[in-house]
Amino acid sequence: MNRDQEGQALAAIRDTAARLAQEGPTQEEADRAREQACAGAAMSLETVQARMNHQGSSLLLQGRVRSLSEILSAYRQVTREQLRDLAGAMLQFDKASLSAVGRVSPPEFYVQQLGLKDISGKNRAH
Amino acid sequence: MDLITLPNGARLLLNPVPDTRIASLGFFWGAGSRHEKAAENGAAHFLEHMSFKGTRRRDAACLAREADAIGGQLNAYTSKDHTCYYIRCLDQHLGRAADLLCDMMLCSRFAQEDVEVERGVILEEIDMYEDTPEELCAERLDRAVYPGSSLGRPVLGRQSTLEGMTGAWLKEWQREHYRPEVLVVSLAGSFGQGEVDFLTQALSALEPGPAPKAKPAVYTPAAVTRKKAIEQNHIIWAFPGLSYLDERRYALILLNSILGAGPPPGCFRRSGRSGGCATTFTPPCPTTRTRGFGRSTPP
Repeated sequence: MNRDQEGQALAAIRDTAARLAQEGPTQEEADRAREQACAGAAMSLETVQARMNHQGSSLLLQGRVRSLSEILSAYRQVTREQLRDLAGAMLQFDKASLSAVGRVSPPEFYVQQLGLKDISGKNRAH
Repeated sequence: MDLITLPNGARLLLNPVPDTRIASLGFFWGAGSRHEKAAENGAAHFLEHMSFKGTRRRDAACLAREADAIGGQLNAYTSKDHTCYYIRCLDQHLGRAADLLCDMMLCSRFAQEDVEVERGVILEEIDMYEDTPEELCAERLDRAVYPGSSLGRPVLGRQSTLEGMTGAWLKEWQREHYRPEVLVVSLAGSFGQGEVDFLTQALSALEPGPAPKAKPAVYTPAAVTRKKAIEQNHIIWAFPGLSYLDERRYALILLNSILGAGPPPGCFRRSGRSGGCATTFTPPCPTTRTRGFGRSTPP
């Protein structure tokens, strides 16, 4: 992002994440995300190469291969409440980290902008 | 879909796809940079490069020429968790393609002169990443949040670790890590019993034995910045994530979309459009077997 607008963008990201963590998504947001994920899953398995890759990596890393029907079903079963709970559990600012490259400010600037927990000197580097 | 598990532990997955003339074959080894000790950093990726440098039966030019001769697409990648080699081609050439890939997987030559050449190629690759701010930003984050862990180290390795690797050493690293119990061979598309029999026989020759396990990584919050004379700043904001074995990963992928991976919602709409600055947002996704973390990456 452009450095002049960095603060503005970070504030918007922080506010959106905080809103999601506290309130969860709206029903419209949840429905749209679900349909996008289902369509994306189906489209991503269209080619022979994609199927080979999906089944090989799934079996190796997850121990099983889910069919497209199972994947779509898993997405359909996600409720708005589960999304809210997950957002609340994951988007904890006191556990967040940051990495920045460019014409950057010191870490303290970003820690303050994003509302991160004040990170000890050992894990703060410039 | 059929799964054949051989006595030595190697698994062969078969997925016939009707109405296609394409076959795609991949070897997935559970050996990536996570499985390296600190002094071995870069070994999995170096090994991947060396697999294209010749076998007992074929030199590097011959491997490339044979793949080209059948219109095959031969490639590979190395990640933190695994390494994959694959080829795809017309079904009528699958036998030759399978022979080529098996030769690369089982009979690589590891000639020292090739090691020296390829080390230079990888060092160039490392320099290229240094010139790619988003990659640099992610690598520094990994290192900061997983201090001292193999998960925090770069897949490509470092000059200091790569310099000590010889052909004999890489061959031994392969023997220790490319074990049948961490191998999945995946075949999809149009194929026949002859190709399945060939693969079954080739995989059966692999020596059984335990493969090294990756140590668990512990996430530690961190903030790191790096000054670089570029026009745009690259920032990753990360949260502890989920393992991709976690059943909630489907919910996480939806959350990913809501936060901005898809069109107009969340941060993209608010910080990108109305804010008037170019921002993309790549939110949390399950990234590793043990535990990933989410990232927001404005380029």
